[in-house]
Amino acid sequence: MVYAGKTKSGAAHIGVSGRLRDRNLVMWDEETNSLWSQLSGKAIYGKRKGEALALTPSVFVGLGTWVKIAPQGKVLALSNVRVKPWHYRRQDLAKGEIRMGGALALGLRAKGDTLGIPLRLLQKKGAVEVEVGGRRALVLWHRGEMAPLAYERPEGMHLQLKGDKLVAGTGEAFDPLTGRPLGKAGSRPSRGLARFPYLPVLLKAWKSWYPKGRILGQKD
Amino acid sequence: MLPIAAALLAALPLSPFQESRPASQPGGQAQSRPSAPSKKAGKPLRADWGPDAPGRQVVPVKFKPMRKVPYWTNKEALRHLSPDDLVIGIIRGDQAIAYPIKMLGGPQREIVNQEIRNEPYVVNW
Repeated sequence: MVYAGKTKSGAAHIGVSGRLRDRNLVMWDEETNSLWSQLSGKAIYGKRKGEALALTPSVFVGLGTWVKIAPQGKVLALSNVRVKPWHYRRQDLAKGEIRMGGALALGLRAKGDTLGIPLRLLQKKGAVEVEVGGRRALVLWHRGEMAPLAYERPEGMHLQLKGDKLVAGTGEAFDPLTGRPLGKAGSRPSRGLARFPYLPVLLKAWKSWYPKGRILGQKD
Repeated sequence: MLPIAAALLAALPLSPFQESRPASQPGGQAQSRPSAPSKKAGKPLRADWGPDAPGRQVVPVKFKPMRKVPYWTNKEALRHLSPDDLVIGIIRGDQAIAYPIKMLGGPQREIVNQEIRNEPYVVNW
């Protein structure tokens, strides 16, 4: 997951604290030595207790897809720390579950609201329009790239996956990988779609973190 | 690193997507190309929180935030990694950086601090 590296009180350079809380990583900031929950992004101890790092949009895709999304991009060049990562490939996302871990999901959260989207359900539907914390999103499964993607959905805009395009009710089309407008004959190009933050998670873990949260396709 | 810390690293937390910690150790695959991946990691420091701090100290050290890390171009990365390897990618305007998740761990390398277009980000797994 990706957080903004600052809060209203200033910069936050974050490191691993060596602590665990409820089996989740606890982080610390170099500026004040406060402790932060990795899962929620909130400071749980110290001078900055109560502050939160904002979850920011990112993509969770295979490297091959990444190169298509950002041809001029760069890639972290550290040595691998896990050389038998059978569940760190995009084919594992395509299965919708991982061995021993169970079903996979995408977690969305905004303004205290959460929504878990089981990956298998997303793969079956292709794309779903959802609302989380008052923010509208389109979440889709790109079958060819074996990748989940999510975009902010402007008010009044409904998007559908049609072949290799995302098509709005107005006929406007977007590239599902980048959100860039593909245009419509005779029309001015519009702005692209902004990405919506999401987390790839184990469904059971998401449910345990947010026991009162909504799960798409499941009754409350 | 303190010997006891190294012995306890395996007990550190699991990422949201991880159901078990593989037995492999830092060091990764042998690379013969000139731009071999770095083994850079956060420097261990003494953990200094009081007894009232939440959670429990699993290792007796904390790791200094990683700020400066090496990068490949996409083309270079494809020489070292599979197109199927999962990455977390950030795109801001014309700047885009991907973080292969199998490089984020250890636990001293679970978090990278990165500025993109003068905005700070914290990438973690």
